[in-house]
Amino acid sequence: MKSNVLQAILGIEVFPVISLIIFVAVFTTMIIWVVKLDKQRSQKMAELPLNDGNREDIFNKNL
Amino acid sequence: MANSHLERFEYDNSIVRNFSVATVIWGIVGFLVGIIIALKLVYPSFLGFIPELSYGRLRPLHTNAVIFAFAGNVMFAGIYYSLQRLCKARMFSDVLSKIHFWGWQTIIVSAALTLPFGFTTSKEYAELEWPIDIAIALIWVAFGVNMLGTIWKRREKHMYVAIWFYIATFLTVALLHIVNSFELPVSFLKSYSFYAGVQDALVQWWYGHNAVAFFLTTPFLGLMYYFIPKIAERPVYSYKLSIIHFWALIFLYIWAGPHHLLYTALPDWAQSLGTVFSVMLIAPSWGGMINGLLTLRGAWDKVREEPALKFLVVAITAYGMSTFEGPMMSFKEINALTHYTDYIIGHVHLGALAWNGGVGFAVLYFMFPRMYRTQLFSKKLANTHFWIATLGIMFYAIPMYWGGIMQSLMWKEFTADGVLRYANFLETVTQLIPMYALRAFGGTLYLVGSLIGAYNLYKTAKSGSLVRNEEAYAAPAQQKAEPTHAEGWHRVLERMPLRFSVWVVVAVIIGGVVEFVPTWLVKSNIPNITAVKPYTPLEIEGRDIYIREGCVGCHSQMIRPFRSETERYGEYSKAGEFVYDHPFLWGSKRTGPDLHRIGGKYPDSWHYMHMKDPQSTAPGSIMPAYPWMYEKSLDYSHLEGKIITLRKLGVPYTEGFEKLAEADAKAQAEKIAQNLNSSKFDITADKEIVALIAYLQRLGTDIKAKPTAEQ
Repeated sequence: MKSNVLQAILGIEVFPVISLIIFVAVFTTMIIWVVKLDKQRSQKMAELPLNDGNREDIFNKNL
Repeated sequence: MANSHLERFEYDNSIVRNFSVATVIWGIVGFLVGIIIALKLVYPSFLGFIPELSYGRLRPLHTNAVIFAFAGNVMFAGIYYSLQRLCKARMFSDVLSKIHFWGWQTIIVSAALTLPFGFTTSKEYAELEWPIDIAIALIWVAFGVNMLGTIWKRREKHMYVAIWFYIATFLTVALLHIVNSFELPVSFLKSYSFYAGVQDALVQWWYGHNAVAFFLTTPFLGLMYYFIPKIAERPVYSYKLSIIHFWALIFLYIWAGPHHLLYTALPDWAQSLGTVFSVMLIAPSWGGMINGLLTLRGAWDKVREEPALKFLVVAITAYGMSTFEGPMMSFKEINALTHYTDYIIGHVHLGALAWNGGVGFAVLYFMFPRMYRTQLFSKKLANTHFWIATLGIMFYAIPMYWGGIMQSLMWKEFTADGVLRYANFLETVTQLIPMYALRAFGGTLYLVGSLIGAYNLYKTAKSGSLVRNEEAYAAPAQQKAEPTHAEGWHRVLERMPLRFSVWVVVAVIIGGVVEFVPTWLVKSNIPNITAVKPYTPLEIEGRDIYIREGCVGCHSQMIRPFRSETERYGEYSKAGEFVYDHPFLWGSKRTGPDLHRIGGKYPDSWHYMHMKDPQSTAPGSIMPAYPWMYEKSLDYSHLEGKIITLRKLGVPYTEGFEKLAEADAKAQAEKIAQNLNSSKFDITADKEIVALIAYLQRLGTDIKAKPTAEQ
């Protein structure tokens, strides 16, 4: 197949640049935020699945 | 004990049980159909030549059953179980739960009642016809409303990472399904894709790739993040890593679709973008895998004890392997080798059997004893299931990997004189038959394991009694969740499902748009080839028979620009040749040879004999025979509608042509029948085979030099 079909589309060359900018921006933001995340809170979040709210969970673990 | 402020409520276990039972039943059906079609590749005459049981019609039934019935039901079972417990709330609406359950089962049954009868759109994993597509959309929305409603009224302030994966699943699958299902109905169970040719292919593989991502990956990752800590009784290894895993995965996945279309009309930069993002996907995927496995640190003794954990460990390992293979196959050089071969079949089955099946069975083994308040009937049987299934996966995947590469190398091999060493495609197929036999054996092992699992789960259920409404306690939800200054913005986001959903959609749409704009623009940018004309009415009928019989499951119509392919098949395929193809029929697998330049390659009589008894023209062929096409008369009742529909979609049939179409078709059929009669074949012009021959003889001839067979 022809690989140059779309090269005639006006302004198409800006697409890879936009992609790169969005990508870098999103990932920088995410990494900064994760690094700054409070460890205690994330530990608490991680323990969420362990408590079903059953009678045993409530009384044994005294949650 | 200061528990007086706790609210009492109940989890709905009935709905979880219902989805679980459906999983087991449909799983067994799906695996069984898989074994039947696997055997048909070893013994083409297995089960005779009954149209409803032919390979081409059963293959989509198998894929749909395994993806939407088996994996779909187990995903819903796991989501309904974990979501209620993570939200500390009953499902939003019992009525919606029931509508979701029964609606989904009805969809599955209607798939089983349409696909074997040849009602198919032919687009992979989206084969179901338009009324079922609409039903899927409605039921999916019922599921989404029920889920988001539950999240909305939850008592737990924060949303655990598993819920993020569930939300992303719901939103993205809705988007994918709707966009890919644009089609114009001709009749109750027949439609033509809104898109044509290259554009149809781009939309389909944007869908196909992301269906794997958001139907078979994200929900199962959500289940992994809930059930691994649950079974191992310890929190996930790194919650921070799970956050990175989530955002990176949903953000990157959606960009990677073009890797299914390397060497096609997509511009180079988009192909490269697809490759780059595919390679980057290794990072979050492996991050997730490591996170899952490291959760078991210090708990590996539990893996020895707990069959569900064994399944999970193999599942996560297979996830790691599949997500390594995927990016590797996105490299053009490797893609050139693996595309169209059985390697892909091995790759997807590693994912389906080990990852989806592994997570699925682990979840079932965990939930059943708890829902029935009892012990697992037999750990020994569960272990047996595990080992048989694992062995089955090995027997399945290894021959497929080996055979796939072997065949691809044979396709590409030239002699010292510069001619193809295996000029006859069939020579490369017959060598695969032992591999196909091993694969059928592997699949059978997997089915046996599943039957043992089903028995074990049944006995477990029998030994206890279902706790339909399981009581639970939690602090009531706060009326107003005003963010405090001490909280970060994401913590606020986590508490607001609506805003969170919006961000998920934004992340998904950014990638989608970058991939999609070229798709939309491509239509007006495909160079017109004036020699390319719309199909004749008879060819349309023939093409619809080709679609009905699922020929696309084994034959591609896309010759890549490689010397090994142009030598074998002829001129490579051009974008402009497919402008009237609603839907596109490029295919993704070559169990048989490419057919894009088959037109004029052989005389009509060859096709006549070939379809009646493939072994007569190609000794050793594993293609099934199609005796019914020689008996069934062509049905022209929808021809007028077909012409009108195609015109609406942009195919330039002149106004009023629909009235002449039948006469035109009959005249063309008469010519082919006379031609066959002169070769001493007893056939009348009204039989289906005549239309199919007309279509096959047309394929790829628009830009081909006058074929020799016609001269």
